[in-house]
Amino acid sequence: MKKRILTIIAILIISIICLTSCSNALNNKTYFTTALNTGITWQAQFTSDTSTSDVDKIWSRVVSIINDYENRFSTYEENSFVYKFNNADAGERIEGDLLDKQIFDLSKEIFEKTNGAFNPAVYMLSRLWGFADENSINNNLEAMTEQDIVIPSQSDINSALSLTNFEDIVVEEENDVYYFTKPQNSTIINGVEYSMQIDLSGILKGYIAGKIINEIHSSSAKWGYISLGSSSIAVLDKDENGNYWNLTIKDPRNPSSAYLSIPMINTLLSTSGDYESYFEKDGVRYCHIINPFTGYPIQTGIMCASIMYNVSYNENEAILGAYTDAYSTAIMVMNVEDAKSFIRTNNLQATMCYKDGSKTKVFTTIKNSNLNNYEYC
Amino acid sequence: MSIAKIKQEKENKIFKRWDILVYAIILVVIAVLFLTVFLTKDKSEIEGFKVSIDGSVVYTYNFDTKEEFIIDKNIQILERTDLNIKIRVHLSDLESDYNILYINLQDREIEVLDTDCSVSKDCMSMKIKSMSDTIICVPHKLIVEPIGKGDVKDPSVG
Repeated sequence: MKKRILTIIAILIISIICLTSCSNALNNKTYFTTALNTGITWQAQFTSDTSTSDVDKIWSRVVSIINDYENRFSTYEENSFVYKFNNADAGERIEGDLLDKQIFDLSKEIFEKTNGAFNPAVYMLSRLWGFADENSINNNLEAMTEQDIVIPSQSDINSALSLTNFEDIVVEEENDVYYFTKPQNSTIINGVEYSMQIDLSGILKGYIAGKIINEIHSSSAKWGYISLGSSSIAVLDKDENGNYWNLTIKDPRNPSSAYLSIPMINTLLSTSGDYESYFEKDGVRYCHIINPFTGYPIQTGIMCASIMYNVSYNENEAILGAYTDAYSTAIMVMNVEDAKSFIRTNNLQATMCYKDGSKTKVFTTIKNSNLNNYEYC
Repeated sequence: MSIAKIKQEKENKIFKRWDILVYAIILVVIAVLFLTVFLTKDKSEIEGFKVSIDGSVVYTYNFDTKEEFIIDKNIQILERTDLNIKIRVHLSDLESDYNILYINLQDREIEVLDTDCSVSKDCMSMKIKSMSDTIICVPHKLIVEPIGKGDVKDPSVG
């Protein structure tokens, strides 16, 4: 009799546990949103007492942060600091404020730490290779044949290379206003005089991702992630049970599948690759990442690189995000051995996928990552 | 067979009559509870929906709480009854560039009744009935998405 009573009690307890776990799963609200034009995706989970209008206020705030920064540092918005800088003459002074100075300083710091592998002043070269302007090769690839694609001449590449002296920008402060003086040198390309042109977007997605992760974390959303254009991602906790997100990184030669998956929470990660924006001519792949030392699209064999930092929500996240973004680009510019050495020297959590002869290899310092197709080096 | 033997046999049975009854009741209770949980889940799959223009949310509606979030300059309520709401979504203050949405409160469905977005008016063929549905009007950069308790999707980069 005792045995039977115990059996019945056991069955009841198991049933209650099963039903309780189902109910808990249903109590959390999941929101999945994609902003159409900006390529932002967010998924966030909230407790059941969070109202939909609260969620939308947070989402609106997130979109507003993204739009503010993008407009402010855009290369084509006429009022942006970058637009004014790029359209000023050689040697001219451009006025900016504290935020312009902070973003510029951060870019310069990373430029120095990477020995120039990350260089925001390659913008003229990007334009020359057809990766920057509205009428560029990259934006019109579908309407073009291989014969339509024109590779820039060596003399034009050399001219644009002469404008990459990012270290020569001088910044001065007068009464809380910052003045940025362009280098004195200019050059002629196709009969038009150009001075230095910069693009700060190389740190911006990561920087914004860091800003946003703080914004979301201080709201009622405690679990979730936000992805900016699939290149920078900010990840919070997955749920209240301490489960991890399983982040996958696309296979650079088969983007419909993943080459690596990483369990993670409270992390910022940025990825650069040679497969999102590129064209081919005479069997050579020309991607949008320009080598600031040669003036040519990178040919290092590195197909993609990712950098990640764990975050502890101490207001330092935007800077960490900027580093993930810029370092992932800088690693693409280095040769494989220099890249490995840079990762080890700086004690980075990084992964890169590269060609070694006919083989594709993966180098990673990220613990617990799971490789899908290729072999570790 | 002696009476004692019959009693012995009865005692040796794996399930006794009352045992079976108790087990059956437990099973029925479990089944009813599971059914209740899963039927509730299906019904509340769409809790509401949101309308966004160019990434900014201009309207949300929650079917459970009847709670609304409205950005006045983009939303005009054309009709409101116990069964439905008809709203006009503007891109700006202009009379052109609009989508008229019909919200069926009983069936929890949303569809586009009219628009001036393009000749083909593709968004008029889209309807939201479940969490997997979305209405996208590309010319007006308008997205209507369900809000609810969908599955958690892992992130991907690259």
